[in-house]
Amino acid sequence: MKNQISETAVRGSGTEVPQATPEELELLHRYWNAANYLTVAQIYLQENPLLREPLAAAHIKPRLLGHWGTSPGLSLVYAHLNRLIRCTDAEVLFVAGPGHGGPAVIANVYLEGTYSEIYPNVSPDKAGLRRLIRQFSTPGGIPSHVGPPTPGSIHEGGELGYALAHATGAAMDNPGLIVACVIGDGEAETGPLAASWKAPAFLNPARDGAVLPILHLNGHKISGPTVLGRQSDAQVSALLTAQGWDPVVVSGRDPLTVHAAFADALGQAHDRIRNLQKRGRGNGMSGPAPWPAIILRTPKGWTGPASVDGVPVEGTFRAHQVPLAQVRENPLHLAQLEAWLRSYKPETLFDDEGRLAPELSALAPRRDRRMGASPSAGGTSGVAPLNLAPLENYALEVGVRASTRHETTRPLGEMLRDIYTDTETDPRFRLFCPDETNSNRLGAVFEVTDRCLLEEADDGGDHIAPDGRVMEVLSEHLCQGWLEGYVLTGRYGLFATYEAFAMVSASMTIQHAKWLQHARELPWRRPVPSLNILLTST
Amino acid sequence: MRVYLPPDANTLLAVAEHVLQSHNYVNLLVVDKQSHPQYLTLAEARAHAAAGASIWPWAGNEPEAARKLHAQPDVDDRTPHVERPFDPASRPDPDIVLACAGDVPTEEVLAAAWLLQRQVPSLRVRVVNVLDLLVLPPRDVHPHGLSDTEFDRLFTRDVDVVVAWHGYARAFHQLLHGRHQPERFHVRGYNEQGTTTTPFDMVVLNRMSRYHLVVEALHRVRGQFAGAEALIAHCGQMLRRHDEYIREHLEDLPEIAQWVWTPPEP
Repeated sequence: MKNQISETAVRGSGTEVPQATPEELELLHRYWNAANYLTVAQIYLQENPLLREPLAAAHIKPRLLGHWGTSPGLSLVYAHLNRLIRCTDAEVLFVAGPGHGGPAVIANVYLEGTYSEIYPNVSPDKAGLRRLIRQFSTPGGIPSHVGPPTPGSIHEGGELGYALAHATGAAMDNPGLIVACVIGDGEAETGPLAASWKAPAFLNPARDGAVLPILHLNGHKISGPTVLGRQSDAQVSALLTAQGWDPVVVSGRDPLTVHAAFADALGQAHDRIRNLQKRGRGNGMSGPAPWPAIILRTPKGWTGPASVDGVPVEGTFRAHQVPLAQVRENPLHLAQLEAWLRSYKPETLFDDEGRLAPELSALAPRRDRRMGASPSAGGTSGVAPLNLAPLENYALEVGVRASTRHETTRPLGEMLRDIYTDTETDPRFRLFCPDETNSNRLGAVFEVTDRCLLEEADDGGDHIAPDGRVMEVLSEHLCQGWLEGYVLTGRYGLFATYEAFAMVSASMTIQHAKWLQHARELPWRRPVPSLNILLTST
Repeated sequence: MRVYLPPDANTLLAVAEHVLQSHNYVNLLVVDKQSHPQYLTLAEARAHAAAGASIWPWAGNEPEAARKLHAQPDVDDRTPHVERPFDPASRPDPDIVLACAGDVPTEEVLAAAWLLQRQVPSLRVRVVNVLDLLVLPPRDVHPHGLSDTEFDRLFTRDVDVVVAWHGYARAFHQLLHGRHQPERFHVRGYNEQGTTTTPFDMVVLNRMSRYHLVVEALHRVRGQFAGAEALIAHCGQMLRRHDEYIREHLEDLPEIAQWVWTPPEP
């Protein structure tokens, strides 16, 4: 079987992030083991969370629902981002594209402590651990994927395609933020994600935050190969390079080798982000800048069962969901699961009371630097309300009713123009539109701002500038995905689009509405500005 | 989920002011970018946006007293309905309700109401504009849903309602489910007809033009009204004229493209 995972290592680390020592990597590895252990425990166990007793069929959930395959990769990224944050004090927002890897993200926000703060009965002890494993994918519990109940998340793990667009919208007008966006190779096959690689043409290092894509290629979807998984490093790198990224490849099967390489890659990426921003903010430079990106190749279902019933599982599509399916009925499967769980050495990770070992707890960032406590994922906190001028400034005089004709949307354009002016020093509003702002008679906004584009200027443009604040890109998915990321991080906006093509992103609208419906039931989630869509007809 | 169809610029401003500052909703605003007649002052637009749907008394010809009766906020739902009366002046309900949602449908409904009042003056016409689509379903379906009392005040309990709206006809019927006698609503909407043609031809092809609405209304009214037959014949002629004219001149008839409302003579 052709497999593109080779052993590569990135040499050297960043200036702010020292190269990880072997001791540090060993600790990181144990932290990753703890996340993987909790992931497997959530998928399989309803009792005996610390495995202090021999595993019995009665400890296993009757219905096994969850996704193992992507989870070790998500946890690897999360654990390393924790280190990056501790070294740099950066605010990092974590977007899990493979949101079906819910147990991995839950495991990590539990290990860092945010989960227990928000859900006190899932406490950092034995009783809390039991609730953690029992609630996963069970009636009255939590869903198997990342969603509104997941601390620090702004991105639903359902329909694939929108992770990078959400990440990009979150970074706009958020200069201190780094959005780490994991993209699976399944999602990378979707149209919206393919369009989303264009972000460098629209993210201005002078005023926006950074998006760090981590393209996680484990080579397989549910039951087949992925295109990027089969392509060479050179091919995948060329895809990203062409869109304005400067990717590095981290690839391997040996965890400690990958830990070292990934730590280096993250440190370098952080350096490059800060350098780009320094340059942009120092002299107002704009122009296309290659942003760092990481291509991460690791086996699907890494550290899980190598084979089951004589059939290879680790590194194949069979690791996608539940690698061992007959655990309650088949004693061989039960024994294999026990060996798998014990391979992480849970007795060295948690004490008898279920508390994480202190040297591991110390690896999580502090307070609101923890990704589960990201202020940017917290809705409107810290974002000023939108102030609108009196409508009298824009209203039409209506003498004899229905006896004069006027373009209905034109006064709205004047209103949006004044919002841009009013938010100039505290940017918190953007208009998103495929390329019809003028055609929709909203052109008054160009009296005070331009269309944003970082690419080289030419003479043929009309109101095009790197610091323009009208976002025009001919993809309804991108316009809406950016706006969703923007409003889910507390800012205001409007997506104006031709009604016949609005159906292109209608499914996103439904997903967003479901998110809002669920989020409203969670008192710890603050309200977010509405998703406003102007549907114009001709 | 909120769906707004502002009929003119001032109502769009009033809706935009609300949605841009709102939280936790998905707001869809449906507007045409071409020129359209403008109907409401800013103050009226604000009131209309707040109500979600209103009777436009100036566009109909109900006696003042009948409208006032319906404007009473405490009208009892169960007030026994007065049988179809013989004295037109004392009728509490109009003969037909024309309802519209969306800017293009609003223009067609107003033109239809204008034709009906001029050509069939004995007919009592009411025009209702729906700006917030989700006032239509009952309140247990959507929080913007009108109470039955409010809904019946706009649409009566049993008068036929000819509707022109921007979307699919069946979607409108779905929203009306649970209202009193929903079968009396006769909905015209976009029916996937037409491609690149004149603006008015689009509403003709989708059978939502002023002439289609007039004919529908005159078929639905109960009773005989002088001038009705002649107006139906006129509408047929106009549709034929339209068809010939646009093929010859490649644009709409001037009296349609430049149609504006003229207030009824006192």
